[in-house]
Amino acid sequence: MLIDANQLDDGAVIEKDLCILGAGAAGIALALEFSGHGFSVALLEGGGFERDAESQALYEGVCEPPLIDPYLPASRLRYFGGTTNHWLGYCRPFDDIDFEQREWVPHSGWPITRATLEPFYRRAAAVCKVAPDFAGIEPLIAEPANRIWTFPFHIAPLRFGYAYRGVLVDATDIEVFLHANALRLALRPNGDSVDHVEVAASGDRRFQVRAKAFVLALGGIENARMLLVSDDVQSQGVGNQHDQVGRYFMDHPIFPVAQICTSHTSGPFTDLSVRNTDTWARSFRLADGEQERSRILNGCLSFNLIPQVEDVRQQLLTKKSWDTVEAYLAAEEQAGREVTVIGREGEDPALFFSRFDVRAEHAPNPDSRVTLDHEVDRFGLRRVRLDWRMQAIDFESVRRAVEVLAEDAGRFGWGRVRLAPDIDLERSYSPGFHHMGATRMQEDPKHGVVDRNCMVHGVKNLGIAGSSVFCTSGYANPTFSLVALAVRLADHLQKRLGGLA
Amino acid sequence: MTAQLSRRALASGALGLVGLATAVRHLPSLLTGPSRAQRLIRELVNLVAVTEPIAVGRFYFAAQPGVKATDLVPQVLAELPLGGPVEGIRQAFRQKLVDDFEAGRTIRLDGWYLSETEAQLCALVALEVGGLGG
Ligand SMILES: Cc1cc2nc3c(=O)[nH]c(=O)nc-3n(C[C@H](O)[C@H](O)[C@H](O)COP(=O)(O)OP(=O)(O)OC[C@H]3O[C@@H](n4cnc5c(N)ncnc54)[C@H](O)[C@@H]3O)c2cc1C
Repeated sequence: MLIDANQLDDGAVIEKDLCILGAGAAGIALALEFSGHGFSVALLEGGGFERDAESQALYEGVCEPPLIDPYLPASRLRYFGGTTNHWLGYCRPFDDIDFEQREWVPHSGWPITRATLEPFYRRAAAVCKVAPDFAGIEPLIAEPANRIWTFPFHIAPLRFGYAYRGVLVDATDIEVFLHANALRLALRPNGDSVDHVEVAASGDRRFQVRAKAFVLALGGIENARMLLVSDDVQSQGVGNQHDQVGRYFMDHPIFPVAQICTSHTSGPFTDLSVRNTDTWARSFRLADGEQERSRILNGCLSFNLIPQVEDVRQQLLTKKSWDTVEAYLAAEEQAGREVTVIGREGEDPALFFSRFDVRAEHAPNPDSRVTLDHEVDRFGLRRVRLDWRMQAIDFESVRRAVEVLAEDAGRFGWGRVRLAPDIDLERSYSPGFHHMGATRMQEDPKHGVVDRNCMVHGVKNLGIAGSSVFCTSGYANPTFSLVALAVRLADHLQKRLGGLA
Repeated sequence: MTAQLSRRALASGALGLVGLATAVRHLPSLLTGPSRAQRLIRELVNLVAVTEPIAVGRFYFAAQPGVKATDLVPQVLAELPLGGPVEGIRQAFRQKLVDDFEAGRTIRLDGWYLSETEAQLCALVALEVGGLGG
């Protein structure tokens, strides 16, 4: 059923089994999993079905450093379907190594493995409407010394809001509330669970949703903000007794700093990259062993080689003579060696060229964080202050990844690589618009905000869906993994709610 | 990662005089089509995967000022089977580039990670075609 919160009575109280806050990729995936399972669900969306300036303005805040202006409102959309209303649809699971504790990457390691998520990735593929057959990572060539691995991304820019609006509105057990802006989580006095969520419609109207369980699915930054602004029972915010909420914020910095050129069509780069399509794109990364040897982060190198028109060879042909070369050849002959350069007739082989990006893993860093600003929005909620920090390992990893690619391209004859000289990597990246880590998953509440099931430590009926639960960022775009985690959270909550019933 | 210009023997002493004689000897082929030197250089440049060899060659000169064509030619052509079919020359040149990378004989020019040999070829092209005073 569809309800416009603007039509509700002021002070209304809604009662449900589950209340999902936010109808983006995570919230919609979770709601879909609950449909038809006998639970009553409220799906609260702050915006409407279309973009509007008033709702979007609630996403404003302060971002340091001012990477792109304005990062906070530009990297998120605040209406039904959320940021998938303009995402690019690149989907790929995280790699095994992304979940592992890497001794050279401080704060790495998840409490779950890639294998834990495997069945949920298959279900996420159905939600994201991509083929479930994600090819694994394989060496670029079968040669032990090769250090470059290759893998594909599926590309399916599904607009979750449009694709699932009908299903959700028609579901008898789900009520979709539009213009329902969650303001605050109200904890029970002992602080061990959420009693209700306070919600504002577009005007002054306020109402409450009470539920047995709540899930924050407000996006990677707003999930942390909602915990921090809900500070009346626990003054430091919900789930923040160890000052972990908002820390470890990560995005995928993109470094458009390199170029690659191949001299023939048969090289593996050219072969693979010219086969890219609208729904499928191949990328490259360093082998696990090389990441460990070089003590660097994961990261993905993507390029699309295209033929170049190269005129220098014409110049070479029209040049009148190569006296020094002729002289050398003649000297060789005089020394009794045969010189018969039989020229090949026909076309010069094409050069293929591409600029390329490194989309880097961003190292987890407790000082890279979401906090609250002193400015408030029109509902009186403190705005976000985002302090996105990078460290030496972030830049060194990019430099080294390009270097290894360049070395192997040379050793195996695949082509040549250029890293712009004198590049200041610290000033040469742009954000990937992927908001990860600010409510990270850790078994120990001293080091994270949610447990392995994505439930907030110390608050027994509150879960979090979204990339804010990621412990590390890998290179893969986050949505496919956050949908898999949301599906997994749905299973967990259904068991718990079933038990409660 | 610096070019070791003295790495290969600079068998260049006699080249100046021989060059004059050669130019006269090959005059007819200049009228009929590309000379063997032109064909050879074209084959080799085709194997160098940089978009602007002349520009790259200029960076070589910035790093190694004073290098002459007579220094570069023997280094580029050394060990190539010039008496065999052109495919053999190509293959040997490719291998020379791979060997450079394997042995760490690499050089960074304008950001490109290059084998020394191909950097020297680019330098030769810059000198002869790019108007670097050659
Ligand atoms: C330009 C761009 C391209 C991208 N391309 C890719 C890509 O190719 N692949 C990929 O994996 N990811 C991509 N992303 C990221 C992707 O869009 C996000 O990972 C994904 O949308 C996150 O889903 P979410 O549900 O956590 O958050 P969102 O999709 O942002 O949804 C959050 C929802 O919560 C609602 N909301 C917020 N606050 C409140 C509140 N207080 N009360 C009620 N509702 C509220 C919002 O209106 C919104 O609907 C891209 C992002 C951008 C900006």
